[in-house]
Amino acid sequence: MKREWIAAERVEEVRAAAKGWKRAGAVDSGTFGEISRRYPEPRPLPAPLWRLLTAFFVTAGLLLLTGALFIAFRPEIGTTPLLLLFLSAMCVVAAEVQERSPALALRGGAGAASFWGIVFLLVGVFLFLEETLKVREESGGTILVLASLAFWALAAWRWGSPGYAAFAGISLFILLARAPSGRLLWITSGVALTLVFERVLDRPSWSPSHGRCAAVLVVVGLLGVYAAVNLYSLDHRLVESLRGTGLDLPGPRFQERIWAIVGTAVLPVAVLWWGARSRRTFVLDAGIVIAALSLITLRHYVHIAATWLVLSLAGTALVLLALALNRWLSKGPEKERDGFTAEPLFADEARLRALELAPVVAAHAPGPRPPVEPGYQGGGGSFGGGGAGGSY
Amino acid sequence: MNPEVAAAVERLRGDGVLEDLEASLFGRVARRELVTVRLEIRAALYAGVLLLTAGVGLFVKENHERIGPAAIGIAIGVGAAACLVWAARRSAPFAWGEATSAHAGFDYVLLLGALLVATDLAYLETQLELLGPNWPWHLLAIAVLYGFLAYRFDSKMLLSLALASFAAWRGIAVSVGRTFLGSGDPARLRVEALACGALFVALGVAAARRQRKPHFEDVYVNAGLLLVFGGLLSGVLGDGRDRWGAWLLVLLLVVAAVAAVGFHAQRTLPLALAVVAAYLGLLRPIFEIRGSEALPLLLAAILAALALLFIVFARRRMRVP
Repeated sequence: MKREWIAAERVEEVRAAAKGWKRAGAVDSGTFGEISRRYPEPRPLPAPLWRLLTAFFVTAGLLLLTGALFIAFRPEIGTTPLLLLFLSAMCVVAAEVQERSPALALRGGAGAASFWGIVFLLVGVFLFLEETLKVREESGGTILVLASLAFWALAAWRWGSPGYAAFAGISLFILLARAPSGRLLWITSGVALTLVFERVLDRPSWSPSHGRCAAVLVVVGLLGVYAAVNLYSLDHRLVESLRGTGLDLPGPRFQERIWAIVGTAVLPVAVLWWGARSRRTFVLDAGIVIAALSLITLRHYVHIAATWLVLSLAGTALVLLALALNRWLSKGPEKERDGFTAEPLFADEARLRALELAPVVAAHAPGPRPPVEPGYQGGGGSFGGGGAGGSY
Repeated sequence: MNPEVAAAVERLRGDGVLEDLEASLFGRVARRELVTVRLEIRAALYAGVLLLTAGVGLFVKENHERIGPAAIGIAIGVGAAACLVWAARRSAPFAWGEATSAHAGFDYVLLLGALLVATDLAYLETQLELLGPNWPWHLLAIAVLYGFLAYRFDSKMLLSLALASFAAWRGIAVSVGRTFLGSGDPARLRVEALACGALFVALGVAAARRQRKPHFEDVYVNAGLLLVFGGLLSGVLGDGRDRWGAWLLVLLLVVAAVAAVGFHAQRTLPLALAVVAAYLGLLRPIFEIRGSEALPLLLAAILAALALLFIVFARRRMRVP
């Protein structure tokens, strides 16, 4: 990542924090103005909606143009990888040009161009392996996943996108799954990934976006370990199935199942404890997710009650737990306990509430009334057989 | 920890820009000595509401013959009442302006109460058949209920559900699912979507002008525009009687009007909806071109580029973030 981009990110972090302070009323306009003067905007930062729109139209333009090129030139299967490589190069160059220009960076266009650049490259590699080199499926798959890991990791390092870091992490685990002791490698690599990137999270030498990439890799590592130790995953050989189809997979041994049961129960508690102790909310969130998965796993194996009762009790428990936690934190001195608070602090509550509307409406809006079909209405018994009258 | 912000806070404190008390709080947050879990609390509440309403729905479905409608109706009613009483005790007094509760869980407990009331009404209607063949009118009743609660408790969430329920009463599906607007006669649904959309937009404008919950305006207007554009696009893309040209003309006129108003009023979302609707509508004539397979794709790509240029131009002129 270029030094100018890192410097710009650091200023943007301070400006974003100051905006939050002003929004919460913690600083007045004068103080905010002074902070803005000392940390001037390095590059315009459009609102997320503009960036989404830009990404949408850049994506539409790229995909349609690619389709037009393929239909117009109808390349041979052997030259298709070259065309895709060319398109990928164009996208990467476009992304670089945009990122280098303060007026064009952070608009969504660079992100869309870099994303499709990597996708075109991977598709090109796939076709090259499959159609040109005629590499065997298993080896070809391994090379493709290795390429995916390399390209997404490079992209995350160059452009600082947490999404690319996630793709790189996922590619790593898919690659490891293809090895003979894939499950064990998932556990060891997941632990290693978590520990290595946890250490750099607060390092000032790392840029803010690289810090976010590191946070994503910590979560990917935790989820990878959990996916390896989860009992359901072990019983159904989910990790091993990533090696390919048609493999003769033996069932797990008794001792392995015992360890999996322990892991499924203990790991969520350990992650939640770590999240609470370190006050890292993303670790807490990961802990909550894997705790939920463990409870679902428990339900899968232990049917102690009807589904409606389990759902209702779980829902009630969640609601009561959340309310109780909120109350406990709010009743603490200065409305906090041990460094945790339920106050919004400097978050943009209005924006969060606006974002919540769509999933709520999608989940809970009633279905439309059915259409009324006009036309035929049966006359029932008045149209009976011979001798039948219209009435009695 | 946010090292940039932590360092900046110390620098600003040293330069006298931030007072000690301010810098102390900001520094604690930047160093992760004080962390908010409000988002996690809200997410847990939302998940709880989802699970609970799913459980109640299953319970009703599996047990209504064994337990009887009265007992089920009363049980759900008690749950709903408990939620609404809790919300009423923690809500701010009614005001025509903003009167949101500061409680992290308020929105979702209120939502749960409203959903349970709606479930109860729907269940009792199916069991007692109070409305007979006019049973879809209960959707209007639910819409009115949600609307009342939305205004009393200043909830945009319930207002959105009220509008969705009203649209459902008119036969319109809110989500883009298997069918574009819903099942049934497409021509009728288009008219319903346009009428509902226009009504919602009018209500939003009235809310702002009369200062009756003016902050509800964006919910009304955005929902209305979604329906209007949905109805018009349904005509452009789905009309099988070669009248799509007329629909496209109307769509472009509406797009121009909405874009002009959005531009003038510096409203980003209406402008964005207008641009996307125009783009999707103009794809129809492009893909009607015969004789070349590549040309329509190329023209659609050029159109996307033009839309992009418009967006860049509009944002610069609007001077909005």
